[in-house]
Amino acid sequence: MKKRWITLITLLSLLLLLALPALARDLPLVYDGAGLLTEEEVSELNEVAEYLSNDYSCEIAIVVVPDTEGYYVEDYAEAVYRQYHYGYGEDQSGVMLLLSMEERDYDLIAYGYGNTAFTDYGKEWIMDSVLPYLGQNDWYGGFEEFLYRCGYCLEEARTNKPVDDYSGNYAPSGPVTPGLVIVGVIIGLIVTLIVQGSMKKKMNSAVLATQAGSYQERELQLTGQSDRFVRKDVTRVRRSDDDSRSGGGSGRGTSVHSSGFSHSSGKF
Amino acid sequence: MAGQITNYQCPSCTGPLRFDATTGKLTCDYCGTVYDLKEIEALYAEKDEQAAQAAVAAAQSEPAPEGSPWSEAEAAGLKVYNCPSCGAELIYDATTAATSCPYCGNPTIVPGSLSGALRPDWVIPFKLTKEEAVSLLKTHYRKKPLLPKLFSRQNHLEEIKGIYAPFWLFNGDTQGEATFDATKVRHWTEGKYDVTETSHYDAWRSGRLSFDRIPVDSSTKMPDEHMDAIEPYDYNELKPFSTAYLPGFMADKYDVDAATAEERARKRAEASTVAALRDSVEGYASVTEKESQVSYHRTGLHYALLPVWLLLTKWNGSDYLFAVNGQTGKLVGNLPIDKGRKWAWFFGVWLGVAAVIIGLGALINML
Repeated sequence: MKKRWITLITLLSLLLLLALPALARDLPLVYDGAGLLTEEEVSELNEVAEYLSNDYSCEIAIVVVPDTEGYYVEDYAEAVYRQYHYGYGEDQSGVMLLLSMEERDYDLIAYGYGNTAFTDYGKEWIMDSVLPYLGQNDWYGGFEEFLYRCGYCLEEARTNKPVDDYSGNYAPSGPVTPGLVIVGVIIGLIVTLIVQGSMKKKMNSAVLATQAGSYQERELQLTGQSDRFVRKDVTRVRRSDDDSRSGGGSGRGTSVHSSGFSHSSGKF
Repeated sequence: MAGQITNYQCPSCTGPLRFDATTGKLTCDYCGTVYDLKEIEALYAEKDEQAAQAAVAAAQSEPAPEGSPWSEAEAAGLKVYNCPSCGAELIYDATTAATSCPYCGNPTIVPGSLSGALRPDWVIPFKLTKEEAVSLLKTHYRKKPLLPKLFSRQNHLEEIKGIYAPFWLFNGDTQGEATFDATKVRHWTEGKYDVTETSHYDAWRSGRLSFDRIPVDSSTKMPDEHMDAIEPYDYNELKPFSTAYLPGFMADKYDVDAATAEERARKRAEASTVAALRDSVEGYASVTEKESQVSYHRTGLHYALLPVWLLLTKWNGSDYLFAVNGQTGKLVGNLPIDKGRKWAWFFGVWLGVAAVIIGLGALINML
């Protein structure tokens, strides 16, 4: 009986020991898991990332993985961020760009103060500039640009206000969103045109007949048929986020999920 | 000339007989006697023949004198006759087969225009009375929000005519083939993305169809739109033709030959064949015609007189013509549209629907 207790305690201790490395960030801020960069390049990028992270108290990370092991890139990025304890300080503030090479998916996530400094618009502004480099497999150029833009966003957030769309061409987020108004107006117009069409049809009922279906003697006698596959079209449309918004002052702000992360993802 | 006219007279009082749409019998409005069609047909069969022969003989022996005041009218296809009841001298055009004297209302039939090769195979007798047709028109004005408010009050019935309109009835077979672009659609979500996969197929179909008695009106006097729109007639009530159905109504003989009219029947049969081929492409999200080829050939031709009430109304200086199927009561015609009401409805419905959708959406967002 005593022996069994000892075995159990040893096993639990082993499990705790195994779990310990995950409690501290044991990956560098710039982690190249797909061999895209030379050691020198990784080291240079890490230096810049460390400097910016410490200066603004918000970690900037770049993680490259061969694939997402079958998970959605958003879920995978959140898991990496949590598992390896990225983020600065107690509130784990940070921003992380994750690239999955097999699917060529990217996800830019922010957490804590990162959600304030990196608005939805800010994330798009960063990726608009980074994606052309990644599209041409200029990894170093892309990551350099990423760090530069992240630094700019953090500086703006500290000294002025977060990079955001302050054009005012949108309604403040509330129950009546611009999308809802557009949908209401468009569906209203379609319904109106159908109703008016039916009203006009009632007014002008004298029209030439185009078919003779009522004089068909029997059902169609099919004498031949074939169905040949021609092609397949696939379209992917990003789903609209309906999560609550926070931060961003009078700008569009940041869509923060219930997990505490905000995302901007796509293909590169 | 008077010999050309058949005037069904009551054997009891010699008053003019009229076909009664309600009873389907011939009625004398003067003494009230009602006769079966067969009874009067038998009585007048001999008389009609004699009258027609006399007319031919008269035409041959008495050519129209030079400088006759009617020669111009006759050259234009018009004919002259004297009403056998009141003696008034009247003109009618070459396609008229049955009409009434505008002075005394005496119903008359012009023999020769519906006999021999011109004799219709069938007739569908009127079932709807003039009063019922007028009442249908009044009902037609109801529940028309775009109709000018004053139209139903101010317009007045200029003319109402019960006409046996000539129709060609075409039997035909079609054989066709068509290729359609058919699609199957699958939706699913991948992370933050809605993915839509559309698979396109070339669906080819070939088949045969038969059509039974597609009607095409064969009188240029009757508007094609109105005649098409009052279809269909119930062919179960087709009767072998007899002039005894005509007294009290007008009747025209055809002035569009079968070959010309057939073009319209052919187009309708071909369109229906393509539609049937399209309907046979099942199990797809959408089916769009890419190309089609249909051949049609006639398998039968009939000539029939079908009952139509034509009602002409006038409002604000414009004519509005309505046609009522004299058998089924289906009414068609074009009504004026009030522009103010049209736009009021347009914006009213638009704003209303948009407000409801936005309101519901906002409510859902708040929950």
